[in-house]
Amino acid sequence: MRLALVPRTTEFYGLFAGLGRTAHEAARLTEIRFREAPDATVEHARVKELEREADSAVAEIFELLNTQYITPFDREDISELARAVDDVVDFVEEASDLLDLYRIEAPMEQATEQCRVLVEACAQLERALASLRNFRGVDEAVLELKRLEDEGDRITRDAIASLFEDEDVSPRTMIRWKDVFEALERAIDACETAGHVVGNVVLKNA
Amino acid sequence: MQLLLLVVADDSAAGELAERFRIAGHGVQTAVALGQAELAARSGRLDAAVFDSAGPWTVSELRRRLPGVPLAAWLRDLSDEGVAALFAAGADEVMHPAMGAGESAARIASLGERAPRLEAAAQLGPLRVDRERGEATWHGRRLPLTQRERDVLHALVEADGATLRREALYRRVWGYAMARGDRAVDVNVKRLRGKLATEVGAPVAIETEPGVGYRLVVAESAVTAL
Repeated sequence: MRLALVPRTTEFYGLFAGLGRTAHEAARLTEIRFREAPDATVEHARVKELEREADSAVAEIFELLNTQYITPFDREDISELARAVDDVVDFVEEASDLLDLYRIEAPMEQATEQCRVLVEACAQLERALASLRNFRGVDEAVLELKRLEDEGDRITRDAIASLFEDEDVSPRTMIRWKDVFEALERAIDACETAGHVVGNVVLKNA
Repeated sequence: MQLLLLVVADDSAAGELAERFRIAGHGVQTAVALGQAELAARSGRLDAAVFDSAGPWTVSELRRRLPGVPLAAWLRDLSDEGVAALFAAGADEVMHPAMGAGESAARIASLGERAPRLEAAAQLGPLRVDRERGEATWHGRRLPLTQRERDVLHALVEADGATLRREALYRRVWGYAMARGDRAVDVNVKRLRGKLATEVGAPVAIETEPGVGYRLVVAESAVTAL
């Protein structure tokens, strides 16, 4: 493999911006799937397709990283950020998949709320990733991601508590929804983790 | 007389108790949890339930979940106070291992005769839901409903125009308590509304009482035209 001396830094920016859009779109479609369950107008295959797109984008970022002599910021930060955003899309896809896997019969209000927070978090992540070139508005997005993660935690705790309020709730309902609530929480947490990595990049480079 | 009995007991006791009644010629179902017992009772075909009083069952809870099913307690350690306490709590019969086969059979038969048969079919005007046959009909014409939709409609028809709270509807249909935030009742009512609108039209409506639940309304004209 040959290292290229002519910098292609703009490609990194484009790939990260694209990853942000993919994560946001995956979250948006997943929110529709949860809200409209079990007759959702969006099939899981569309979310899965976005997950594959994200994998390809991450692979491209790593390929670029391995062939470029000059990178727009630290190599470690680039790989960490690519993995962090990839995790977001993976967790979103996992939550969407559980709807079919567990044959969810109807939505739970708390999951719909989690999805709303997830979509907002992915929108902020998209905004932060699109601004890596000039870091404009990144701080605000990172702060907002932290706030959304707190809100997500609160909703998740309340959601899990709702399954245990009455000891006669069906064990199937408890197993299904506890897993789903936790999957959605992992996706929201992953947004905040990715935001944290972006924050570090800003600190080092701004 | 052959009866259909439900034995409600822990895993360790259910088999032995069930065998005792099977030998006597009765049909026996077993339930190791209250939710299971409630689901079994929803068939409307049980003649009686026998519960192991050493298990974590309370008579009042069984009464609530198995409406109309006569309850017999199986008391392993016979005592005067124990028997009195079970009757006081609402048991219809108290049985014990020292009973001979003849007495046991006679008590169970007598219990079965006390069972007010729960109707497997419910009807409101020309709308009829028969859970045993697995069909819902309007003027005898079969409606294309899923089992879940049929069960929801059955509960609404049985309520005879009264509003059923979401939680009560959920318990009747799913056999468990509804978790806060669960939209299963709303989703099934929405689907049912759509199908009733297509198949029946204006004479039947499921009305929403905001924040409470649903009630079924069948137009007076449809009822009187029968």
